[in-house]
Amino acid sequence: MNCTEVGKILDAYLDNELDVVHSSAVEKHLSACEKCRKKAEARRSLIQLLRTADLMEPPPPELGLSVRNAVYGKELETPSTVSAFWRPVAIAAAVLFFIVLGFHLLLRHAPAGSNVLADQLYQDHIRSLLANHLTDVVSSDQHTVKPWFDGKVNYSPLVKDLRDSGFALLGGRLDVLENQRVAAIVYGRRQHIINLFIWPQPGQNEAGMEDDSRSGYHLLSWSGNGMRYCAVSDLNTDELGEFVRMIRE
Amino acid sequence: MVFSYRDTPGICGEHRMNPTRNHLLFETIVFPHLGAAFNLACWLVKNRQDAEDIVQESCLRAFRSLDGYRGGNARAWLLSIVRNTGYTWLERHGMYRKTVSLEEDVAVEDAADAEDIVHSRIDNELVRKATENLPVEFREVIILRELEGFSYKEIAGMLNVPAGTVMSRLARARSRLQKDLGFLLSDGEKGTVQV
Repeated sequence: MNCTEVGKILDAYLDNELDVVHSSAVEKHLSACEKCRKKAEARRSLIQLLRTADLMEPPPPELGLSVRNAVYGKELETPSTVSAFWRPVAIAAAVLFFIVLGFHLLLRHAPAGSNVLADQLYQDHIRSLLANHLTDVVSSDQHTVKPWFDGKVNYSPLVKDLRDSGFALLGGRLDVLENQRVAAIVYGRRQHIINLFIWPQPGQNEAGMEDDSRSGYHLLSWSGNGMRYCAVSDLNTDELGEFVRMIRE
Repeated sequence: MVFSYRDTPGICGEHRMNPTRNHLLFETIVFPHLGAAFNLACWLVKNRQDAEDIVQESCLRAFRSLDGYRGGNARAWLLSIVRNTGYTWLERHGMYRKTVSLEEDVAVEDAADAEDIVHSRIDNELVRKATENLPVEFREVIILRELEGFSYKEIAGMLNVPAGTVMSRLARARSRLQKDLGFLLSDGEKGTVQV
């Protein structure tokens, strides 16, 4: 291979996109030709620079919400002959239908045993996003969210202000898990929603972290002080782990 | 996946989508990649507000064509929709003229010898500016390769061009960046870098 030929495939070589034959031919040339070696080094530095430069454009925090509104809003307002009077009823019925069928779909594929609880948690999480029922109490103030649960559940759930760490408190919600009412504390990170489910689990002492992932969602659960905690989100596992660490601190 | 994409086509047998399945699919396939979608849209149209509109429209398109999704890389699938929507937007606003000719695609420019690039002196702003100044066809391959980490083959699929074209476009895009960053540098450093 001469310099021109190597020049043409140098980028593919640096990107590990060449087959073994071409790759070793380039390597052989580079070890013999200083000019090309320098060129490769410069190119490698540029690639490194592009990857370390912070070029990622951060999405606006409300992007997830506006997308859901655009998508599900349009879906619900498909042209129909249903009169304005019946429309809300039809929407309510449709939403209920989605939920029931959603449960059915998820449960049908649910493995038996311990996964049933995890399935319910995923369903609760997804349902909270689908049915526009993310929060019952909307507040970024822990002293508003925490007292709201008084009289609704017979324990006081942990609510933390993690704004400074990039996890915004969005509010709280009552949810149902294994036929009992549980507190769901809702946090947001960029456009991702985290549901932190908390319920009492007497007799259970400190237990290690359990994790689970499916369909792009992650779940981290642990026990402490007689309570069970379960965080569910589409956030990546690293950031969800960071969130859990801060909740446990 | 918890559920299969290839379930029965529809409840009414007339290509009507099953609403639940598609809602859940949307949440699991499309939603996790909104950040990547927004980033690509920003780099295509260079404006956050328009990028948000493009992401919304792309998501709506994605939702409506969920039945056409056949597994595979969901991020690549969504981003190719964002790309199409972005190009349509650019054309509609008279901001897109094909700047890369097929002929040029074959030839790889000789890179400026930019070994003098001194990393510590180049801050994000310079890199960002240089990338912004690239023609859109170059910009997108840089974003898809360096930020999103797609393979040539994946990018080729999204752009609907041969993998060889991806290779030469990427090479030319990088060569231009090397030149531009060298120039920006020498500008700020009073000619310490030769272009």
